[in-house]
Amino acid sequence: MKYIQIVLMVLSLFLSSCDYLDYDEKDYLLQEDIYSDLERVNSALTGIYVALPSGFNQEGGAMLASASDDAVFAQDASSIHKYFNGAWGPAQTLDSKWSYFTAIRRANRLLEEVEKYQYEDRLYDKDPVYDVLMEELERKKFEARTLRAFYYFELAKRYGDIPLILKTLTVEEANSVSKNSFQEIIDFVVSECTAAAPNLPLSYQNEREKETGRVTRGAALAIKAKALLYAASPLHNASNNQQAWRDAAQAAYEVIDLGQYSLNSNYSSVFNNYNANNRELILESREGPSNYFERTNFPVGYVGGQSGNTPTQNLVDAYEMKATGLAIDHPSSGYNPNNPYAGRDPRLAETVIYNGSNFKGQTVEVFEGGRNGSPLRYATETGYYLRKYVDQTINLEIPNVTQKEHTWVLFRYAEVLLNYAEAMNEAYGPEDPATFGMTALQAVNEIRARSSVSMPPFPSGMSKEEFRTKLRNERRVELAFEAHRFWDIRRWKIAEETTNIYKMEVTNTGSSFTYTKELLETRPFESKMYLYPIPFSETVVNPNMIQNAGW
Amino acid sequence: MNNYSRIKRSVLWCLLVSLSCVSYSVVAQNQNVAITKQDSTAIKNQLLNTLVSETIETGNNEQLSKQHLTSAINKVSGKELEKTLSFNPANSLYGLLPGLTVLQNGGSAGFRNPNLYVRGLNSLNSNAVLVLVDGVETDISTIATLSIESVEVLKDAAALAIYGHRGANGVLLVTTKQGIPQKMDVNVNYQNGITTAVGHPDFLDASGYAQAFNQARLNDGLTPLYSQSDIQAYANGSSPTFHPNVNWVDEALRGSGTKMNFNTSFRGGSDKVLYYAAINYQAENGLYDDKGLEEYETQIKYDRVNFRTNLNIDLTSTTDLVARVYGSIDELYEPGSGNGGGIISAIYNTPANAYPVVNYNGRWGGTNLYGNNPVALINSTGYRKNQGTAIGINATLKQDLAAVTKGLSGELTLRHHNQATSTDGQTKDFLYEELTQNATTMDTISQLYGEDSALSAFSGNGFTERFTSFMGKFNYDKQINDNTINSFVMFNQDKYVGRGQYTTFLRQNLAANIHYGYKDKYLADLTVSYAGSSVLPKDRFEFYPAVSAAWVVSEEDFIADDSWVQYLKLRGSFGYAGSDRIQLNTEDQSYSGVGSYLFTQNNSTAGSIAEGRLGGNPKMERAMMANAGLDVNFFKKLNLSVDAFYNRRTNILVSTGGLTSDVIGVGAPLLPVGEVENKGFEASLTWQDQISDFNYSATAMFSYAKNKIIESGEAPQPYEYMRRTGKPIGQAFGLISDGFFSSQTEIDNSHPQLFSSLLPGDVKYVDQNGDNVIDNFDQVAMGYSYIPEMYFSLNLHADYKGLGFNAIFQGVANLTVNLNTPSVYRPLVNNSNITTFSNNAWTPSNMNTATLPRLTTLDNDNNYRNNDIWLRDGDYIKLRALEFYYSLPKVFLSKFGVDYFKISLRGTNLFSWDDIDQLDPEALSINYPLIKTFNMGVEFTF
Repeated sequence: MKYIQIVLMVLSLFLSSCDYLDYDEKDYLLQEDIYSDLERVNSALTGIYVALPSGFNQEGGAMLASASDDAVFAQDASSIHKYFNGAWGPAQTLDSKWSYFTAIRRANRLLEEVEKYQYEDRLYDKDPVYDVLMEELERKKFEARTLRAFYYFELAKRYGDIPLILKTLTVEEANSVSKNSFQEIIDFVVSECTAAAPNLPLSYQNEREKETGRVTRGAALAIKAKALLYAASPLHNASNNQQAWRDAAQAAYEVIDLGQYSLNSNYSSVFNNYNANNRELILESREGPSNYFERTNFPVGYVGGQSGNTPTQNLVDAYEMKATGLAIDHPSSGYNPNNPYAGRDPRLAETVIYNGSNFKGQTVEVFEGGRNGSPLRYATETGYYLRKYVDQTINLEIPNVTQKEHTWVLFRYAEVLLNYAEAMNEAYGPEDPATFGMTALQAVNEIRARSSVSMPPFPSGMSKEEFRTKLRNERRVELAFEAHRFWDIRRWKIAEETTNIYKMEVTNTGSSFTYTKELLETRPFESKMYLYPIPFSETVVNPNMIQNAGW
Repeated sequence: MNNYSRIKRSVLWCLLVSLSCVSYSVVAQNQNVAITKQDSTAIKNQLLNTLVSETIETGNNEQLSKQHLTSAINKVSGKELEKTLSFNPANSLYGLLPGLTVLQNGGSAGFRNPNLYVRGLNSLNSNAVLVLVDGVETDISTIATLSIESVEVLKDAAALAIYGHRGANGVLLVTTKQGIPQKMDVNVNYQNGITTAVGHPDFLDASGYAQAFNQARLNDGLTPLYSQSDIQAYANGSSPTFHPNVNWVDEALRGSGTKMNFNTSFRGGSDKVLYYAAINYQAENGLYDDKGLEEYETQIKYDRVNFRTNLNIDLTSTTDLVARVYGSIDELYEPGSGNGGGIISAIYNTPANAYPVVNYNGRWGGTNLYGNNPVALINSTGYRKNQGTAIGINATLKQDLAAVTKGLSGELTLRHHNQATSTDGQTKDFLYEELTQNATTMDTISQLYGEDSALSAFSGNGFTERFTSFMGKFNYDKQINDNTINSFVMFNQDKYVGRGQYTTFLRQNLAANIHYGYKDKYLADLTVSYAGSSVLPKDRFEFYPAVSAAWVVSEEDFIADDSWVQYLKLRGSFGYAGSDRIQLNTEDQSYSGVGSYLFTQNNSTAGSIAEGRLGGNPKMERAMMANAGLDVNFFKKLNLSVDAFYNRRTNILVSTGGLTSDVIGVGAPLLPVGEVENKGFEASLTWQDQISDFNYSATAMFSYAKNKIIESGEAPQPYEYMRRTGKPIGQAFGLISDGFFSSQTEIDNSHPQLFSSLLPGDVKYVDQNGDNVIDNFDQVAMGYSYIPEMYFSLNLHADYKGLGFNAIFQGVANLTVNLNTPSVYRPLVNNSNITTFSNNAWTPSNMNTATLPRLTTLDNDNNYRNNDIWLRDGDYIKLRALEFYYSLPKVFLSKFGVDYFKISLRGTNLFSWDDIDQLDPEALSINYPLIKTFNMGVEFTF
């Protein structure tokens, strides 16, 4: 018996040592570690900023312009071509921003969690004192709400009706949410931005940490104005409800009325410039030093260049003659088809590299056998290369490869003026200031009067329709390669008219060049493409997630 | 797929032939051989002995005679491993154990670790087999083959349940040699031989490359790069500076390396002490061509010393001590540019016309595009040394507790193993020069790259690992009349600590077994284990029961002792085992950085933080295993063992992302919902006979395992045929080709293929889903998985008066390989090389007979993707080992005081029969070549 007791004792010893297996070498942070600490809350807010889109590489290395009639992407295996070749569909999504629900969850999580803590550990902080920290925390909550509203607008712009999710979901909840209507999303965006705007500073330069780059009052109002403009546009406003246009005009005027923004005198200084001297910039997406955009977009023939987004003849034709302010197809415009780039809107040379342009100290040759023309691989098919946003000073030649910071414009004052002009024209006509201090005509002429542009103003006395046509052209020119055209042709419901893509055939005759405009390709457009398809798997795991019409 | 079933046919043919031989012999024996009534104890000849009284280790120091075994365990003796004596014992296991799949990998000297699987794949996660050397979890490559007494594979629940959460993937038990009570035997074994590559891809020479490149440019619509006079110059070698023609394989590699193995062991013992002690030295000199340009060597070399002392000591009349001390020291020496991969890829990827090895002025050749001169990488980059040491002790104290109760005994085992690696060396860069010729002035233009730097020393740590285990155990055996009871209860606790975080594993296991036998005829086992592991955050312990039973039919009276069935045993088992090799920390949702953003006027970086994937509820993987088997002996000359199994693995951790809407905005949790079913069988057939002095035997083994994914959290697929669930793990998927486009018109009139722009000569695909577009949704399951379903071998032996031979053939069938190796199968793209594999690529002149798509110098996403052109059957049969030997007669030897003397000639990996061109089907990546060896050896004992 004695032995059996010993045996039992030994055995119980073994079994009682179960906590032997308690071995914890985890060093990662859990939820309560994050939101109970103000510094980490700040990082959590940055986690919402990191999703801000940059349009330098929107899909398959290409800008969204290459999915519109503004450009053709030179690399033929890029997925950007799937917009036209039949591959696009629920199972092969493009420019899929469904992932914005990740940023939205981060915002929801932050807004839920910070309410749970008083941050008493900071009560006796000296610099800054507790009250200042709490004020800043309040502001940060409004930043999170404004960003969330922005992401919702970007989702609704693509997918139309989407679920409006304002809390962190469980798996079961996520698999059963239903869609809210496009209008409900816009209403939400408007109310959030309206609530946030007064609580956000006009500029961060006067704030404690001088963290420019955060969303400002102007940014919140610009998001709201854009959302209302989209809601008023034909795609979402089939009945042409005038109140929608009036709301959009009012919202745009709220930004103008801030008095915070003005146009830069130099058109090209707007891009890749996050500096406070860029008075035009309202919200941007910043990137650290890199050269991938230049690697993609330098013309072939330049070391490292692969041509990338090549502007189309369609876009080039949109640039008017500087002397007359007339479109090139106008008989008295002064356009010379044999010297097509002379005397054009100065923004053309700031946006497009054409045959004979000077780029990086060399004359660009796009013709067959030219320095930058076929048969080089990826040589432009359109006859043009991209200049806007491309930093000429970057060197891709080994071993002195350089990199530069890039800044993608999300909102700028010129767009707000154009939004205002469009909404005012639709609501009140070109020259009625209504209750605001500015007419549609004045707004657009302010853009044309930018000193580096100095295009003749739009004449007065135009009809609403005439003004609309010229304004759409002005918007295309001013905002080229800023990811607007792709969406504008959709919200205007004119995508079917933009399917023929033209190129400029340049031939070197030895002493001079001949220029011939030719049809490059026709890109099929189906009406279902006015909205993006919802990813296939989403509609399978959640039966309430109804696929968009036609897809 | 043309030769698709050639190997399978031949295997089936072989099986048929052997079966008919068996049936013939059964009949023949019945008719012609009158077996006289014998004493049942005397019938136990050698072959029958392996079924009846061979000792089987069932793990945890338990031993049973095979007759008592109720589980599925196969054993192979160390003698068999010596037939393919290799540095890494795992490379001697090909085809020796039914149910154990051993697949060779590439790997340079000293690093040839084959993949081991027991009964194929059972899990979507780790399928790693637990390898225990005398009970210690050990990297099998660190022990010496000649110290191995036996290797066993444990396959069913009855054998594995005792290992609890370690058992589900199967266990390989390696037992080292022990002393035997006899005078001291000194055994000396010396093998020396040469190694050669099993083969190299057949790269085109300079003119062939230039012509292929021109053809590819033409196919791409580009102008040819090389003129006729260039091609002529490449062919006739008239301009070696500007038109070189270099066979890089010949320049950088030598035809053969060397390999040696020297082993001395001392074995003997008295009634108080048994001892086995051995020291083993192995060395391999690799295949690089060290041109001796530097004061240091630049060959790849591997050396290893192993030592081992195993002692069995009777401390008192009731107390035994088993003590083992062992260790190893090894070093891999290699050129400074690193092992295998980099150098071999430079050799394979550099076209023959790229540049001369050395320019006329003595500088290394090289260009901006091709900077890795393989000869320079070997000869002019310094050297590096990777050293490793391992040491271990393993002691068991056994106490007979008959004083307490008769049949009771207890034992304590302590094991500790420690292993560490480090690297050091001196490396340097080299200067190389590109020479070009100005087309008009004919001046030579020199462009220098790199620099001839001085040697720069470096050193670093590799990994360290420690393993400590403690085991306490009570055994109780009792015999009452015809009833035998063997039982034990044991407690095991171990700790493994690797280098860095999340490499520490603590485990406990309380287990018991009771074995009951009636007259050695009816046998039953009940095994339970209650095992826990630190990988789980809570509820760490799981219960793993198993039951098994066997019936030795031949012991029944109705089977006459002189029956042609000399032995017949039926076995069955059912139970559970687990696997704790799961991903760690899936229970928590951790927060971490998700990139940064830039604020302020200086673009100051602000760090971010956000939630990671949701936490889950991890569990051990759980394996349900059922096994039925039989062991039978006919006429004392033929053994047949068959096992059939059904395994079902549940609780496999899988990502549930495919089952979760992305609107959740965060990664879906990993949940233990994965499930895999696996079934198959193994058969082993041995014929062994002796005709006066002529002994011969033949063993054929065949293993078949086919698994099916039941649940894997797979995302919804738009078409049923795209689903991976319901198919085997690793099932190949690809597009079905429909010839090559012959013209632009054909392209224009066919479905769009959305991979890359098309030109004549590109692969045309079949539309599977009828959407008139060819894309990834047209991929269907084709062929098999990357792990063979069938694994088989034939082991032949014959001996006449000490003169004999051994041969091991081993093969696989039903697996699919992907010929996607750049340069070898996918030529020219990304400046890669080209082999004769591409000889029948499409050109406008052979479009009706071409078997491969057009050559191209550009990326071609249409052709170079998974399809039936590149996915091929990877079946093979290899002659793994062939040995001829002569053992000198004892009568002669005794004059010199020598007990045993054997000389042998041996080759390994001599032949492979397969359908794969250029490379070996087991090593399709660009890596240090597989080697074959030719050895001469002497072994003597005195």
